[in-house]
Amino acid sequence: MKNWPFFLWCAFFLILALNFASTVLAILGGDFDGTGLPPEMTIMEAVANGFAALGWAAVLISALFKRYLAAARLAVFLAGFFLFDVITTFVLPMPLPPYFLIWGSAVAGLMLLGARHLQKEARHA
Amino acid sequence: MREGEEKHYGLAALFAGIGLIFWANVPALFAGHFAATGLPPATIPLHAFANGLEGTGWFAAAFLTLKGRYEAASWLGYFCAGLWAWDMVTTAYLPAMPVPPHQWLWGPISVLLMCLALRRLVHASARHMSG
Repeated sequence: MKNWPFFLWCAFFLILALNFASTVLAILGGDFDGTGLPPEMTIMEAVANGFAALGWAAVLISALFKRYLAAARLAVFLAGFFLFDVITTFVLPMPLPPYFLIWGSAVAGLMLLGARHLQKEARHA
Repeated sequence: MREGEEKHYGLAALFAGIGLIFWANVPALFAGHFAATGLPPATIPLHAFANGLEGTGWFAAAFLTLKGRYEAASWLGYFCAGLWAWDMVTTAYLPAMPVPPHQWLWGPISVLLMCLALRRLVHASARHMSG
């Protein structure tokens, strides 16, 4: 497999889509009811996570269909989308692994690296 | 910047205007204008930081646009549009938000307008590279 880094990034995008989708189910299941966020916001966090899941699925599909630049732009957008969540909720008691600010920022960084790889693919296409 | 190349002062002004709006939210958050929204008090300074980051990002995008670095400006803009989109979606139905009513309507429109403006920069960047 000559272009294995590309497929590794595709696997990452798939994991992101599945992870955001599972967060939607977790929020709807009440796992985030004790965070201190108002109910109007908690439900919209589920909506936002749903958008993120759909967005990463769209990044994956666009990349597989060689629409690299569109996929890269969407990935950069979604990295910002996720980082806002990290920055503004990391102090809240959430059912997530500890140090959300650190690993959340690192994940956002990985998202940007994935976008950069897609941009490189576009240049070589 | 080469002679005869198009400039995008309008887009730079737009990005600077967006930056100003986000920066204006920082003192408003600290002044308690969002205190009745139900946001946990611990997150208010974090929202102030995030809005400051967005404002700075949009000003940087405006600066890069003026410098003719359209591609870098567009990437930064898409990132900042994403930051705003999360904020806009998750606070859309909070009570007593000191913003114009119907955020569920104008919020997505604002993200769309940001992306349309950035799309113009992407096209300018492509012409810049091919020209």
